[in-house]
Amino acid sequence: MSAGDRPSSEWAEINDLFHRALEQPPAERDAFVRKAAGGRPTIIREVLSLLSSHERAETFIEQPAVNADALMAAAGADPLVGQRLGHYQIRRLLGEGGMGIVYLADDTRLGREVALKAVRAQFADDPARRARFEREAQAAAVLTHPGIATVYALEEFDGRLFISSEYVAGETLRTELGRGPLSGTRLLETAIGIAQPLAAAHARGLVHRDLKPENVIRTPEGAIKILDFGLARLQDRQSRDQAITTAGTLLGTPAYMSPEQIRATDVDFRSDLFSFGIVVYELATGVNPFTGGDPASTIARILEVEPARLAERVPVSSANTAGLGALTRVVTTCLQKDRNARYRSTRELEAALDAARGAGVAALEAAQPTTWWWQFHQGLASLAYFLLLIPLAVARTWVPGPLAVAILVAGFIAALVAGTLRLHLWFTVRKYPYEWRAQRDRTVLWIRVADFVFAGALAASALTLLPSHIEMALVLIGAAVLVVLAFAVMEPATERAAFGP
Amino acid sequence: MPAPVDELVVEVYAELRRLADAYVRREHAKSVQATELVHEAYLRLMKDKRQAWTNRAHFLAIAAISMRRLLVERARARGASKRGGARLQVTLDEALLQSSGPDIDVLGLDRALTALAHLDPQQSRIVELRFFGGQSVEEVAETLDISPATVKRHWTVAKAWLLRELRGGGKA
Repeated sequence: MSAGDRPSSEWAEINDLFHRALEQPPAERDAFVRKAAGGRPTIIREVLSLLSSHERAETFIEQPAVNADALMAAAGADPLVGQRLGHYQIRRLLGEGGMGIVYLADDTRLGREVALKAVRAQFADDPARRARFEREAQAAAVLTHPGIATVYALEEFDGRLFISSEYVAGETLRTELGRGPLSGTRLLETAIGIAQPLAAAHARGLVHRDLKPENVIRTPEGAIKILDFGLARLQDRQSRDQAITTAGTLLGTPAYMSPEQIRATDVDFRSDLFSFGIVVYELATGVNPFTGGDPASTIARILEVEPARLAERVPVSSANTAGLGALTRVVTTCLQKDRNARYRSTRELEAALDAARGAGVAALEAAQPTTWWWQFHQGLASLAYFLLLIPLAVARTWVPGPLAVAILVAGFIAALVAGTLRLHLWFTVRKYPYEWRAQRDRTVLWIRVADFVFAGALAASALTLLPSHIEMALVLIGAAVLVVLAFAVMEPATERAAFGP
Repeated sequence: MPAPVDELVVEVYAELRRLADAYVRREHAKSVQATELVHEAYLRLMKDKRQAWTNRAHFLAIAAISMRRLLVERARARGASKRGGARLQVTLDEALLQSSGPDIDVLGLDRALTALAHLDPQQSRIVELRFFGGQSVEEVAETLDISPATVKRHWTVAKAWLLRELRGGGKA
């Protein structure tokens, strides 16, 4: 049989005969084929052989190597992408939540991007559920706060309900957690960033009901936005309870539910406080304190287990987070099983977090006597570096030449880098003390390199001066030795005294 | 086949193989369905490259080719480990094919499918999409832009032809 992109005419004929034969009663097929093939033995043999194989092929490869349903589910099963619904142009899939599939769409009427949530069909079909749905969506739409993704409208296309809301670009805290826990100011500011909109919504009597890292986004500008506020009740119960394993994370698990939510009693803002406590705990430690192997054990732990105190679970690298003690008290209060033992209002939570922020500053201010020497050293070293540029410049005028220019340029850059970074650290300690360690870790290499280059430039400059200007050379050599002593011996000592090892 | 599709196949394939290996290493092989692998691979790939997939049919087509390569490679590896590969008639890796029912000789099927592609490229594609990609008749019709009736006709012939090849029945 011939190879090629197009089936040969012989193959086409075999196909045709095969199908026509199948239309005949089984007993007559043989005779039919012999007759229709007009005495061509190859074709007759091929068709008959295929027919006989066909009788045994009924179940053959009918079951796919991979289950079709799961494949379709995996692919997002999405006929809406690229479609136009009313004045919305669906661009792409954003994700799948308990409520349904979420798309990124262009609102062509207002020329803005929106998140369009397709509501599961069951809500649209049942009039009672639908009415409740509309009420909830309306209530959620009343909420406007910079920290909450605004619900714009409830839409209906071809009998399907959609909620259009503000599209928030950025990363969810779940994604951020994938890179490890937060610490320092970032942790505290993130907690405050969630607490503020939460307090505003609670003041209006709205409860989120599904606060979790997946529902909090940090925008590229660094602002915190809470998604799906008040929409949790619109999710279908089943998908909420179901544990769906995707890439190692649990979606729609009870992992962030409060005890009263699990018991299905009435839920108020204090349920959100519990969820908030879990989220902050996870942000600080990288783990949810209640998740067990399966949803059932998670539920049991939420109802019964007291998690270890936050301060004891924080990774060593971020254990120096100032204000950790205060934050631990906040989380412990939020995670009380008895909701009456939690904060009486979310404003109270906010105030406690503000106090934690203040405690961070206070903690370092209390350590003032020891940071004083360190601060003094940083300020003096920066000043000395800048001043030492003067003899370096003078030396160049005395012994000109390309080498002297190179030395001056190297010294100038090194002094600028080392001095500026030291001033930056000094400023950090005075203004954002809990950020100090992170900033130090980020800059220490550059400072050391600049120190070495600077000391080298001083020494090299001294060598070029040697026979003719011996006094100036000695001054520069002395300065180089001092610089080395300052950064290699004195600075580590003041640093240890101020911040510990 | 255009180059971008090939790149996607390589990508999906690499992801599937990596995941499969990870599962086997963790000895979770028994509890994992191939479908979960594909699901997981898809989610991971979506995360990295949201734009790469123009639509579902596109992903399914790529996944079909990738699954085929993955399964063939697995079967080969198992065959090679069995006394120098003397017995190539292997059952499929349970970790990957729990849902596939009766044992199927993947290597034989792969060879037969390649042979069928010479005879009738479209029939070969249909089998690839249906068996390895798990698509329904309607979906295959949509992907290949032909009518479902045509898909069914081709499918029937292709199945009979492939089964005969696998059973060692001689070609005409």
